Amino acid sequence: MKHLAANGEPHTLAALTRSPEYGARLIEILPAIGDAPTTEVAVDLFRQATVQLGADAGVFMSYLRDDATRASYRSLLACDPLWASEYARRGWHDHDPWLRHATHETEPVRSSELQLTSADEEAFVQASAALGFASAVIAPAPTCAGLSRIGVLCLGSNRSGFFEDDGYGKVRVLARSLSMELHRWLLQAIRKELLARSRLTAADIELLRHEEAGHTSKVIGAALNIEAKTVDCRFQRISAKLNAPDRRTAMRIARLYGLL
Amino acid sequence: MSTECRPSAAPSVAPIELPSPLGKRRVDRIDEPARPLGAKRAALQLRRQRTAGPVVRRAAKDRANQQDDRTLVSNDASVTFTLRATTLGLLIERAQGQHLGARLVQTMVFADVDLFDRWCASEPIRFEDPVLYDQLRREGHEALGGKR
Repeated sequence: MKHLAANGEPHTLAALTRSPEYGARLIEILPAIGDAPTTEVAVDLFRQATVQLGADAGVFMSYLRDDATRASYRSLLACDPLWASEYARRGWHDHDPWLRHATHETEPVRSSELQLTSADEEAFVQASAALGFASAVIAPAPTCAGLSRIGVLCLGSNRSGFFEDDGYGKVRVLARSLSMELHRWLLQAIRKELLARSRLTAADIELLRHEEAGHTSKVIGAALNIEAKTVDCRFQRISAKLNAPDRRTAMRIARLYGLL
Repeated sequence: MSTECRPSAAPSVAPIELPSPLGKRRVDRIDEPARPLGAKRAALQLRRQRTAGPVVRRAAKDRANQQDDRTLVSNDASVTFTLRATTLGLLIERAQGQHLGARLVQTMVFADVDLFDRWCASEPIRFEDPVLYDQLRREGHEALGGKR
């Protein structure tokens, strides 16, 4: 898709979205993202989707709260890599207004509509504006895990006010779809990674399902025809595999990563 | 709203007749904040994490080697770079964080050396661990094969 008008000037978002082709290629890309076989393919498709939407930059971030002591922020980047360096260097995950928006809202918004709550958030927005997010759309990817697992997509433009015109309506819908597909891919990737790292077996997963159902060791033992102490012992091994302090947390991790 | 945390496969666990309400264990709600650990349990967990650290790093390197990835770890093990040469460019996964607390993982693909150099020039590790930084640049250039 060309983003330049005949006179060489960049198109406005409204002009781009008026084209009948707008979104057509993106609809082809979206299903491929969720099923991307490798990380590099997922990042490449994300980059293509960003361009198709008329944006100059894109970041997808997922937040996952494993337990009381551990949390992870994972991001796929289709933007200026300097933004990633700044994010890491300044510890922006603690002051990220995009992520904060996704923890409380499910609706996409433009960066101009975000209420910034601290000087750190203002610094984040200013620095991001210089690195491809002068105008931005923030599209949350809500999940059934509430605040324990959140995803958020941010599409940016180098042009201030780019997402403020009439074309935003279409971008809002497409950005939401892209955000959900990226989150789907990321969840699959981290699930595979956890399975490879922990080496959980099918029997372990079955035991965790019993824990999810609230069954005690005695009940599980009776169902599996083993001693309750053996059940406890197996749960201890599962907790160690998942790096969890106890079996309740192990079950929580398994649910968060979509293993159950 | 996503339903992805409950995959389509039906659970293999059949409902079990519980003898009494006392036979039911408490289950943490997934959409609520994680249950805080008691002081003793938290200290034990911290000790376990510390002792498991080198083993986990070795396992990560082993996995990386199996996938033809290259893993570079900083002196204090707080930053890890995983590099993979692909047909689409150089894939880099940068992971930062200790065993406990927040862990930041950034994944990006560099199509050419210029972009990679631009990122390297702003990479915080260049002052914290110059040896690792040199290695990162060298490995990155090698993987990209001078593509500009």
